[in-house]
Amino acid sequence: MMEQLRSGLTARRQEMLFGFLFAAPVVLHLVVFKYYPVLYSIGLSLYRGTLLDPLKTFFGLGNYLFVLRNDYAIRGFLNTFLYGLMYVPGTVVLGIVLGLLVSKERAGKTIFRVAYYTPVVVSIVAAVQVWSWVLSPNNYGLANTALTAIGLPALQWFYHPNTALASVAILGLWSVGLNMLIFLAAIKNIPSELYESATVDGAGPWRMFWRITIPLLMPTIYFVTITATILSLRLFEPVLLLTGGGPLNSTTTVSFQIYEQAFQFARWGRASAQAAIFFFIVLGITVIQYKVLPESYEK
Amino acid sequence: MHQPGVYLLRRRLNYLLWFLICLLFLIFFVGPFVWMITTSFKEPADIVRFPPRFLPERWVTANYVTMWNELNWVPMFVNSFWITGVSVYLLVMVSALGGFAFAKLRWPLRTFCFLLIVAGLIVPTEVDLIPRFLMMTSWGLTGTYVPVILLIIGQGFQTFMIRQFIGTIPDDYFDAAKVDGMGYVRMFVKIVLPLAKAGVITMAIYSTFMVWNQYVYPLIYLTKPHQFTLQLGLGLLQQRLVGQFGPLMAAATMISLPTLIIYLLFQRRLTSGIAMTGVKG
Repeated sequence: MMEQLRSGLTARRQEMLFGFLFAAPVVLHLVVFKYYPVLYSIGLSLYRGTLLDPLKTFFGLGNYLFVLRNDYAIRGFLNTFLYGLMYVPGTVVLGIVLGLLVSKERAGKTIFRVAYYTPVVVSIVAAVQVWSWVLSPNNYGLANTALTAIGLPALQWFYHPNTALASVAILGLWSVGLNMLIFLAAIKNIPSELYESATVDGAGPWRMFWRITIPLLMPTIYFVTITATILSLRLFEPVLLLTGGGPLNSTTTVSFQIYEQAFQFARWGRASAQAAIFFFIVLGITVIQYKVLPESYEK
Repeated sequence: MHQPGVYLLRRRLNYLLWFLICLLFLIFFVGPFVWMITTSFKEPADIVRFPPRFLPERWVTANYVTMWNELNWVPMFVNSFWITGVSVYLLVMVSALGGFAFAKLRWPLRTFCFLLIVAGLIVPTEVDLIPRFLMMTSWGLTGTYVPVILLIIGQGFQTFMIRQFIGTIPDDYFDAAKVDGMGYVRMFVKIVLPLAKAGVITMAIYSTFMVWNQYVYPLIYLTKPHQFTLQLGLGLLQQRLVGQFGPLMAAATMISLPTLIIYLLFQRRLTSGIAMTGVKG
């Protein structure tokens, strides 16, 4: 009896010990390289420093005041949101449309499914190269040739302030494949009896789409909206590689400015203030989306 | 009497319409790849021809020669391969161990730690960029491979996904193993890894693309040319050969080829694996 109890206790202890041990690498990594840096960043944002000494002089909220009054920084925030306004609805709508298309049990569906996902596996550096060539502003660019062929004017794409950010959004939407797969799985989960009984009741495909498909996809739509929002706010690499924030600051984003201010000008404090503001905005948007969307859209 | 005929015609028309729409999207998603590849085999005059032609007038490999001679690509291939191999192995092991602990073991603070992981998913990596760099600098690790590998191996997303897979293994296996006196390390190797194989492999492939394609961290930490990865090479080439799309497309084709091949080999596993876990939350 005693023996059993003791071995039971040690077994319980062993499980706890190995639970800790096995979870330790990923949890410690998270604490050291994700949560601690957030606090570090907030700390840094209160200082004014030099390349080698980021914590040289205490500056209080000076960096925040500077950032919030600086036209260039404001432009970065605005561009980031503008991009989100194009990218998020785009990826949700396109994800649903593609998910529906490849969910049909028809010959060729697998080929289309595989093909639509392909851009996701290609590196952003290569994608930027390819799209800067497809969207070449010259008349021999592929997209411009297509536009002029159907009687539309050729565009400057990445090279005009009015179209540059939208061109970056096209590049972003090229990788909609992951969201397509997520919607596809959700569409496959909708019981087919619902459609059958709706057909018996004489409902057309349009009605069924709005009355059955969309309501049942709602949880997935929230999920994709939230992840896509976070992703869109982080727009960085295409800007760094392709536009450098131009033309006329039309594509400069928060993430790009954080990188630029820190690694090109060693303005650690200012960059960290932007990062901190950015962090709280992302946090705020996510919390609002979690709270507001499901309630107001239910049923 | 002709009712079945009309029905068949409608079905055919439906299929045709569906096929045409799918084809239109195909142009958007795959067209740029084809354009990249055909451009890489064109002569300079052929590239800027107006109106453009899809296929090269004459297929030439000159762009590949130009691109290859411009940079020292062999060390970059070596670097990309070993960094990806080591990082993916560590990443998957860290995620699988964590996934096991979160799915099947009971220990204090488990729920709290799991919340940390889920909440961490929304912290944008850009916020960590500067502190991470300053930490690595103070540890004397900038200019080495260590940060590039170390910073990528702890991934909340992969841990979360593998946990979902491990969660589907029936508890009976673990109960029986405990009765047999099997230790937890052996349980991980003998039960978790084999039975969650589908999930582990899916995440390994997913992570391979992630590591192979990463750009910002290598850019920040790998400062010496002999440390460069292929992605850095392509970025550098872009600055050196501004507007020379022939060699640039040749290089883009070259460095995309490994991921494209892996994707085509494993596409079924990857797409079904992601679709399976993607929505369960």
